[in-house]
This record gives sequence, structure tokens and C-alpha cells, in this order.
Amino acid sequence: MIAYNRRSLDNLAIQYEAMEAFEKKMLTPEEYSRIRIAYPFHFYIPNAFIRLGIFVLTVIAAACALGLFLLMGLGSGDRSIGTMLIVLGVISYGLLELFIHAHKVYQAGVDDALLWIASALVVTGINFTTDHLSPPLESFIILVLAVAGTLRYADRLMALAAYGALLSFIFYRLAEWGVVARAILPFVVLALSAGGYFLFTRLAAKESLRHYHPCILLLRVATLVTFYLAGNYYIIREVNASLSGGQGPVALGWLWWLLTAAVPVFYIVKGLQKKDPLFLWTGLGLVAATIFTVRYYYHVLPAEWAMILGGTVLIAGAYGAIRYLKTPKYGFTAELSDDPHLLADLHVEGIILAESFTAVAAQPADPGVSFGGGTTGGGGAGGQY
Amino acid sequence: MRISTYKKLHAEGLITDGTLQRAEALESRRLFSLHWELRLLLYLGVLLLTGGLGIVVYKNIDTIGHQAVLAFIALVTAGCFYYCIRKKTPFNWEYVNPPNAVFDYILLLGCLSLLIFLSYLQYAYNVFGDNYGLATFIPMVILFAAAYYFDHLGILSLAITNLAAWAGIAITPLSIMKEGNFATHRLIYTGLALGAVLIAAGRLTEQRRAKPHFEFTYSNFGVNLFFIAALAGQFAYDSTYFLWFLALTGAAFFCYTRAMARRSFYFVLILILYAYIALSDVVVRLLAEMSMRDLSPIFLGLFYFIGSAIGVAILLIRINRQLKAHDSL
Repeated sequence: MIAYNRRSLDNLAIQYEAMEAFEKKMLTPEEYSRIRIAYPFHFYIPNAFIRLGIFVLTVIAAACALGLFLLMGLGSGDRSIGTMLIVLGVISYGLLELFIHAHKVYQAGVDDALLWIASALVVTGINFTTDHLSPPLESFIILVLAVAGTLRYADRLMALAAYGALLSFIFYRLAEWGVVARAILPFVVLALSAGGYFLFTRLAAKESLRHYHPCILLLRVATLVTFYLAGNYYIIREVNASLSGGQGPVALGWLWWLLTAAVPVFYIVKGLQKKDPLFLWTGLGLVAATIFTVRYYYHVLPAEWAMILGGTVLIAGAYGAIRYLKTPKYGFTAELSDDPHLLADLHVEGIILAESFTAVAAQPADPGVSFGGGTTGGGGAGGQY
Repeated sequence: MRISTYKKLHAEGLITDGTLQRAEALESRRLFSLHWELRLLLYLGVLLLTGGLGIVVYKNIDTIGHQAVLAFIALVTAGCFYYCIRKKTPFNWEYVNPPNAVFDYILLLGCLSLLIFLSYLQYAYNVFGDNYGLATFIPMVILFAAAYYFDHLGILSLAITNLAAWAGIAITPLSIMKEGNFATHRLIYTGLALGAVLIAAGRLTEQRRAKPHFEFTYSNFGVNLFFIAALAGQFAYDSTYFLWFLALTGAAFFCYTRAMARRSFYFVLILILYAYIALSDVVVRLLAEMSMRDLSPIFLGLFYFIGSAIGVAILLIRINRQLKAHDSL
């Protein structure tokens, strides 16, 4: 299902872990080099900055190629332009496969860019060929493309796009069904988010889905956030107003206020209890959303005094907590831990990693091909930037 | 590395018994770190507090006495600096660790409230008169001194921003990007000069090993400022744009050789992109001069961008490989 070589992905994951352990001096240099020889991978993974540059340049080249085709097709009707866009999208998918299989790119900028370009072209093309796409149908098409993109290329943002498209599909379907459907909309999203969270948490434990773990992690965060948003007073009120055209307070106001206030606190408490940074960080971020929601409707304090008060409480609280945790208590510490942070699961350390691999099993580099296959050559931690 | 991975590698004979036992022992007394969470809250607190204080002062200028406001801000500033001077680790030209977790934030709070204090002084009593240069020069000196004395990268960025304000440009990396505002030609030359000074400062910092970890901040500000000013020059001067282009690519090449020697992927990337923007500007100018009777200049332009973008992408890939290959030597 996944386009990338599975063995290389597995070996890469082990090398990530080994590199991290080596940097913390949990492995001897001999052990580390033995592991690197035993688990070779054949990907071209550039440095993160180079990846960004290649991404931008690929988008420029594709945009100009598109402009060229549009210029040549000038004057033909919407339908033929739509067909052309779809064909170009399919060609982009083809190029993507070519780069992955022939040139072994992995998170190299080209593959990221081509996947998104291909999907965007196909969606736009379908819009051109049909006279009018209903919003639910459009959401459904995006959902199908995004799910396919996620499954085949394990792209994290594609996974988020798929979840967003699913929500938008359900939203538009329910909105079509009139008043009753509108009333149950928040509960449907709440239920869907909760169900999604438990589903993804179970999937995250599955070894067979290991290549999708970064996607699943993001999806778990997304379900936590949508659960909060579905119960947020401001969102409920605005969405309700835009659907029915009427302003003013909404039914069950107390319930939405309760959810707005309680969900972030629940996440933070849960995060501390389970020692789960995912809950903790989501909760911390959502506290800010709750503060803005409350202040939008109730001007309890002038903004500046609220800032001073909040700032003082934060400084005092954080300072107190740091002092309190000077000697670790209940398994918490304020010191830097040896564990990789939450971000580590998203393979942010790929930035460092891509720089620090020496040529392992020497692959015959392929000098004729510009994107030449073979291992990421060279290594040794270079400059950070 | 997860314990399961340790066990797997151990079973395959890739790691020794000792390593596995050490990992297991560490795992059993592993702690959950709130390090970054608490730092983030502290930082937010400092920002909120100083922001709030600033607004209060601004709004109540007429009602609270100037002396009362000034006295309060002075008290906060003095308190912070007193704490920092008492707690600081002895000065050293190399990197020094902050004495404790909150030190950096107290220092930041002190410096920010010092800035508020000085601008308020200027507003209320016009201490510096119409001498705006002095009004930005004094905080700049204090900030540079604090950055070096207490070893604080954030304060150094503040100081560099202040240096630019003194030189007549409001810069933060973001505002450079957003506005690219070099409306008057004097600003272009100021930007070029300041950028060159900062690049030189970065180089000296490294050579003299005077707080060598400050080098990146200097170079980052310097390179971006210099090349954006140079691009602005190329865009602004229609008659001499080609000279600007030559100068810009020359400077880019000079910085590029240094960036390659230091194996800095970041600088290599931004230098190549700046040079690419300059080259594209020249090409577009040349195409625009062609006769516009048919669409051929547009087609040529599109072909140029397709070809050049792919070309630069391939160049980046080559450089990536080259930088890594150098490592293994």
C-alpha cells in the first residue's frame, strides 16, 4: 500500500532511535556503527532547509508548466481545461511515483510538493468539468483523494486534510437536512471526535501500522481539538448564526459554556495524570482559546489589567512549580529530560538526522541521474543550520 | 530508543548486555519532564506582564502622575537587574550556563521594562530632546552590554533591532519579510551598510572567540538585511540594475563560499534563493524589453522559470550531497 520501500522505512526508524540513543551516550560508538551497518536504508533524504528549497522550486516549476498549458489551451471551454487539469494531475502522480521508485526520494521536497500539486490539480479539474459540484460531493472527492494520499504516501498533512474533509462532508450533509439536523450537529461532531480519538489511539498501538504513526499522532491531536471546538460557545453561536441567519444566544448555552471551560482543564489534568504530552500541550493551547472566548462575550476586566494579572499569575505559578520540582516529585521534573519530546515523534529530528549519517553500506551512486539513488551519503553532525 | 528496540538489537547481538541493562535501569526511573511547558508559561507571563504594563502606562498618562508610573517601572527594572547581577555566573567569553531556570526570563523582563522606562522618560519629559539618535543609542548600548555581560541571545536580537532603529530602519526579521519596505534610496544604502557591518561582526565574533555562539544571530540578521537591501536596489534603479545584479551575485558568492566551508545548509539555501531572485529579475527585465506583439516573451518567461526552477532544485540536491560528502572525509 505504501509507496516507499517498507524495509528501508523500518531500518530508518531503527536508525532514528539509535542515533538518539547514541547522542545520549546510551550506545557505544562500536554498537552504533554496527547498528548502522545492519540496518541500511536507501533513501535520498536531504537536509530540512534543502527540502524546503526543493519544495518551493518544484511548486514554481509546476505552476509555470501549468501556465504554459493554460496558455496553449486558451479559448477552449471549461470542460477541456478541466480535462487537461485532471490529465496533468495524473501525470504529477506518475512523476511522484517515478521519483519515489527510481530516485528513492523520501521527504525530499519533490515528493511532498508533487503529492499536493497532483491532488490540487485533480480536484480543480473535476470542478471545471462539472457545472456545479455540491459541497458534500466536493468534500467527498477531497476525502477520497486525501485518504488515498495518506495511505500511499503516509503524508501527515494529507491525513489532516482527510479528517477535515470528513468533517466538512458530514457538516454539509446535515446542514441540508434542515432544523433538526442542525440541532444535533454539535453532538454529532462531539461523538465523531470522541470516536475518532479512541479509534486512532487503538490504531496507534498496532505494529502493522507503524509507518503511519506520525499521521495517527496528528489525527489524535486533531480529534482532541475538534472535540473542543464542537463544544465551544463561540463556534456554536457563529455556526448557528450562519446556518439559520439569526443572531443571538443559542439553546443550551450553559452546556456549551461548561464544555468551553471544562474541556481544556480536563485535557491538562488528563495529560498530567497519564503523563501524556499530547493532552498537556493541546490543553495548554486550548486554555488560550477559552480565555479569548470568554473575553469575547464578557468584559470582566480591561484587557491590560487582565494581561498584568495573567502575566503575574503565570510567572508566579511557573516559578513556584520550577522551585517545587527542584527535586523530582510524583515522577515529574522541571529539568530537561532524556526522553525525546512530543515533537520527536513527528520526526522533527530528521533535520539533524539527515546531516549525521555517514555513508553506510556503500550504494553505487548513480552519477548519470540527477536525483541519483543510493544512500544519503556523508554524515557526521555538521552545522546545525 | 525504546526498550523493545534495545531488546531486539540485543537479541541480534548488536549491543552488549551492559548497554541493555543500563537502558533498562534508566527506563525504570524515568521522569516526566515539564521543562519546556514551564518555560513557555514563564515566557508568556513575561510578555503579558510587560505588554499589560505598557498599555496601562499608555492609557493613564494623564491620570496617574508621571513620577508614580516612572517610579514603578524603575522599580521593576531595578529589581530584575539586581536579581540578575546577584545571581549571575562569572563572566566568560565562551558560553556560560544561566545560573537557574528563571534567570533568562527575569533578565528579559528587566530589559523590556528598561526600554519602556526610557521611552516613557522621553515621552513625558523629552529628556533626549529632539535628539532621536540619542534616544535609540542609549538603550542600544545598554542592551548590547547586557547581552554580552549576562550572555543572552534574545537580548542580543533586541540590541541588533535597536541598532537598526538607531540607523534608521525598523527591522525585525518578520517586518523585513512583510514590508520589504525600502521606499527611499537612503534606506537601501543604510541597509547595505548595516548588513555588511553585521556580517563582519559575525565573522569577528567567531574569529576572536568572543561569545562565538552569538555568530549565527549576527550573520542571520546581516545576510538577510544585506541581500534584501541589495535586491531592493536592483528593483529600484532601472538604469543601473545590471551593476546591482553583478554586485549582488558577487557578494552572494563570497558569502556562499563561507557558508559552504561552515557547512551551513541554512545560509547556502537563502543565498542561492536570493541570487535566483536577482537573476530572475534580470531575465524578466530583458523579456519585458522584447517586442510585445505576440505572446512569445510570456512563453519564454514560463520556459525560463520551469527550466531554472528545476535547475536550481538539482543544484540544491547536488550541494546537499556535496556537503555531506565533505563530512565523511
